Amino acid sequence: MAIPLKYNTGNLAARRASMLLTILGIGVINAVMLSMLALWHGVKTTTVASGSPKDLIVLRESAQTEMSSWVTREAYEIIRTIPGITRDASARPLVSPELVILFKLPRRDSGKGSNVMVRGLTEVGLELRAPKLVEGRPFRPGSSEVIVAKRIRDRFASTSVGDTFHFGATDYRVVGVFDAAGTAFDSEIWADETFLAQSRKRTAYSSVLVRPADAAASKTIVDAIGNDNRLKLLVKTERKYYEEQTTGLFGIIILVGLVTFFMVIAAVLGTMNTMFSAIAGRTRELGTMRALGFKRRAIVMSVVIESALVSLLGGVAGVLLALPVNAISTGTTNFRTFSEIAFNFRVDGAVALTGIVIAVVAGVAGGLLPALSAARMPITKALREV
Amino acid sequence: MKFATLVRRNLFRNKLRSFLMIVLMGAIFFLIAALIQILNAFDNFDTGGAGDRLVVQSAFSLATMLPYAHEQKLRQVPGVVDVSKSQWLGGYYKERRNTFAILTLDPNKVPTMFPEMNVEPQQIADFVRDRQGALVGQDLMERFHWKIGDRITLHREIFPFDPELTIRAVIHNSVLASVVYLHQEYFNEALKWNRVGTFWVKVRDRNEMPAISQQIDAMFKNSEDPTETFTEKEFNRQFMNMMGNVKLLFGTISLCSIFMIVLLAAITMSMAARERVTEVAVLKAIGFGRGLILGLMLSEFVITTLAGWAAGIGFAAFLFRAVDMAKLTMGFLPRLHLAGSTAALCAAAAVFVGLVAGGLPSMKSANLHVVDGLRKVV
Repeated sequence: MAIPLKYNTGNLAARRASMLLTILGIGVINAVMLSMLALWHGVKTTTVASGSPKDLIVLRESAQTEMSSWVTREAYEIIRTIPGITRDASARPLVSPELVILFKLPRRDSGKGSNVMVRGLTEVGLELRAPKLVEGRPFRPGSSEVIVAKRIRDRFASTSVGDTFHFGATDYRVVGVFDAAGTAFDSEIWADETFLAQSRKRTAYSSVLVRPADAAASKTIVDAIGNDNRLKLLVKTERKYYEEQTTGLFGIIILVGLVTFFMVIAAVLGTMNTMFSAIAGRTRELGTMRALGFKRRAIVMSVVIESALVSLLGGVAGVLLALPVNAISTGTTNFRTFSEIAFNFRVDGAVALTGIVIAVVAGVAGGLLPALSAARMPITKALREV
Repeated sequence: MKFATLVRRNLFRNKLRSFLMIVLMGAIFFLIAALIQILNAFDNFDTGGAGDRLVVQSAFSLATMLPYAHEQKLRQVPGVVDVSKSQWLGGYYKERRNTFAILTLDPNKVPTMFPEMNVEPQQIADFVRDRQGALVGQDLMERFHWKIGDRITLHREIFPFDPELTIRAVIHNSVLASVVYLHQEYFNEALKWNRVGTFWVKVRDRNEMPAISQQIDAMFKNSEDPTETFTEKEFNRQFMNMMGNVKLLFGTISLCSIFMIVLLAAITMSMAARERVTEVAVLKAIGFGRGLILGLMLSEFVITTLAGWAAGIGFAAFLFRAVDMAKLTMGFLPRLHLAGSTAALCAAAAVFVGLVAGGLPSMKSANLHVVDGLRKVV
């Protein structure tokens, strides 16, 4: 027969002070771990979720990033004629030639320069990308006007609507702010392609974005571009492109792995210690239960359950403690593109659940040893204990 | 010191509990020490040069290259001794996980500009002579079992160029142990751009560096390719800054970890205090003063936390010595070592944890009324 759960909850209530400390302790461990997961999750969402799974991105054959790619104007004209591309209301194919250039701009807080990606778009590009403006209006074609992502506006000097910032020999006027819902585009400035190309003396595009009509058309387009020996271009879905970008973030991966590992160790050792103390305080009680006929197995189960219960509460406390990090918006550099990406720490359901599961598993692992030692104790010795 | 035995006995009273506490604290102090050392290593990244080099890059961004024509103008700046072009290529050998630093330079400038590479003169001559020669860090030689004269092909990362190289010389410098250098001209012939990412400028007198960098930037200010000149140290540090606010992040993690072990230590210590209430009462009954009891208990707790510190820091010292992080991560993490200041900082944290976590239980014990304590059944 199993020991009723009420025994465990009763125990927790009886040792309120030390249980609260344990829960808080495990809560802090869990909060640190969750913040790490949230950091990784935030960075990953920012990069991976940026790419549409349907749209195709065309890059130069061996280019890993848009920064190091170029697509000639002739190639763009060829791509435009490939059948199977979605057309807009005025029957233009949705093909967006884009020019990507790094601008070193001063940050708002420190005034130090940091690299921001500036993307030149044509009219079709604006239509295809459809930025969600939260302030101002889109840039006019052929002008020095730009629209700025909200996060860039918050982080970089002179990037509010109406401001003018200086880069090279050119002044750029900010006319709008857009919100890209936490994707990589939230770290970009969008400008008119023709103007950007002229002012930075570029003749080729960096990449071309294509919207296929459907999945079958998508395959045709990939084949058509891939098999054209004149082009020497590479096509992949935009989603895949952004997935590959995460390798430029190895620093974060190492950090997240290291800290999470140690936090799990701390959680296991922490629960183990408390559970040992918890049983040490009631040796006689456990002996009595054995004498009453409860099996060793029941004792083990009971202690493990109690440990898991404490960890569960600790895990939940951790989620509550970690929630405020959701508000943190910060930036790092993707060392593949050398451009800054702004991201939010994201504690969402999945991260919270992962944290709680890890906490409970650590709790069970930490409770096992004390449980076994409790069950192994000879009844007579346990009963004699004061 | 006549109470040493008492303290020692109490420490070993519940061996498992003390052991777990020590391991837990050891793990946390190890983590904190590792974070501090990583931060320090990045902050003080230094190849061991004479500190007499400036790095000139484009004011537009790191990805913008400067025209070759700048080199002549740089040479004419008074106080400039020598100039070498250098370009970051990035890339890997055979598989993507073998990613390491790949750069170009002007080979004949190695002895004068980069003496800290410690290359044998004969090897430098061989490297200079072979347009497709490679100058390779010692760790990479070891890792891939390369020998002088081996032919290797590296894979591109940024530019449409897969260098096919013959290893001609070896760098003996622990910071540059996972780097491959190749001829700037070999790279330039492949792309025909006549542009390069950075110019490394050696100056005659270190004190002139601020003036020279200002002069350089002023010289190109109104050209098509304005420059931004850094000292080598500043240049390296900008990569650290690019990672974001690492200092704040590491600091927060460390503080949270300390807070956490205070909580967990407090539980253990109050447990330890509670189970010897009767004992303490007896001690007080036979004349032990309040201060003495407080001191005995606190020293016991502080000894426990210091033991945890010793375990963690000792392990860190051992691991950093035994495992070369630079070799393991192919130069991404520098080789770590344990600085005395880090060990001292952690020791202070350990004492703090012991005093804060053990303070309340010790005070409770010290203020115990003899009668209450003796009456209590634990």
